[in-house]
Amino acid sequence: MGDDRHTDSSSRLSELGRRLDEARGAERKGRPQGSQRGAALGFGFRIAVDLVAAVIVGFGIGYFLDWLLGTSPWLLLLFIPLGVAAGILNVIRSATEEERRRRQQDTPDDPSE
Amino acid sequence: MEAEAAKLIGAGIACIALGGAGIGIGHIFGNYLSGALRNPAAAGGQFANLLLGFALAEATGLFGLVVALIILFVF
Amino acid sequence: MASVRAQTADDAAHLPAEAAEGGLHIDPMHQFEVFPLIPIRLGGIDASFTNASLWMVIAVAVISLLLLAPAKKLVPTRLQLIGELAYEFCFNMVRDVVGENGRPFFPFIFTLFLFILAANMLGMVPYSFTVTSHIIVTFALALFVFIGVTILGFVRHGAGFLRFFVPAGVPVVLLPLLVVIEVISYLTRPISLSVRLFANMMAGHTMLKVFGAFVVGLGVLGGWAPLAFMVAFTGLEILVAFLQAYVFAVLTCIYLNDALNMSH
Repeated sequence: MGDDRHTDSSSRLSELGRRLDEARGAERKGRPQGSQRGAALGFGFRIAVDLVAAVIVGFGIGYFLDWLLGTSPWLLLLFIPLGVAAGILNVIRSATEEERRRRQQDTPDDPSE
Repeated sequence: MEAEAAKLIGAGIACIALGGAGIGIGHIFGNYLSGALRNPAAAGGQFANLLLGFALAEATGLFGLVVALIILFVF
Repeated sequence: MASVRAQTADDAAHLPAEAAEGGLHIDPMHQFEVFPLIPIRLGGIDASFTNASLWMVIAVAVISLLLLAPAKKLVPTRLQLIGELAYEFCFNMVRDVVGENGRPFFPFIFTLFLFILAANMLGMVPYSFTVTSHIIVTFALALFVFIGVTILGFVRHGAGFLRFFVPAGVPVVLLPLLVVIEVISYLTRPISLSVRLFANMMAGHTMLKVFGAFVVGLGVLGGWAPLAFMVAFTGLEILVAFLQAYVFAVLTCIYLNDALNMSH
């Protein structure tokens, strides 16, 4: 982090590396299950909010354009299903990417990846 | 009953459809999970069907939400 | 505006609660009230230093204390180690998601992550104020990210950035409909970013307040059950505080990657 004195002997650097690995390992051993469950929880909430947000945005755009152009309710009727479609598209994209990432994690020794 | 109150009650009743969406989505994911636990190797292949089922179940529920929004903001 | 909303919510929360337990006052909304500490008016705009501003300043002060720890030893002290762990965590995240193009933007992502983390964590301190439990704060952050990333995309790719909304391998007939859907799904990004953080924080703190009221209301005999739940739930809230900061930062990196590398 800005400390560029490479004149230190290699033993001090390896000592630093050992201590960092120890600290990092201790932290990771503390909650291996917790962080995995936490990541899954975060992902689930992420896509749930994505779906709801897309419906809200579709409704908002439709309502705003209706108010602007005075064509109530047709633009609203048009944009709500588009918002629903966009939300489902988002969820499908996120879920597919997460599945691909998880598959890659499960088989990290695949040379073709 | 005045129109405003009827609108609000109608929108509330229309949102009951989302309960069906919740049941449908839970059902399909639960079945996917129980199948994946029995046969993990085949689970990846059916992922696309899982997403398709989820989208259709969700869409059916969201029709109810659309009706609720129309009742609230159009009439 | 916030105090008026809090008042009507107070009335709504008081009526059923007072009927339940004798003298039990469940008031979960009062903790979200924003009030000015130093009133300042800038020509018609209320730019007062509120309690929200105070806790934002405290969050920045806590982060500065952590990162500007005076002893910059090669073998780090524990405080410096925390700073270095946070730095490395964020750096790896940026490098994994965005790649080498994202290096210039690492300070921004790091700042964003640490600010939201500090704001969330400070909210867990009793009697404090959770800055991120207000939609306007999270929406300001999310809008900043969204507009910044969009401008970045246009600067980097010119008008070719619009190709982002045209998915590959689609029959030409469906193209207009799909482009509109893509644009809508792009516009949901700031909303979902902000609503996610806001909903998590507000719901969490409301639950904490409600169950805290239960503990007091049920007294010595019955208060142990909600107290046990409170302990577990506070642990969950700390996890959620960290998680939501991480999710916000990761999604910012993903949107940055979409804008810079247009991998779609």
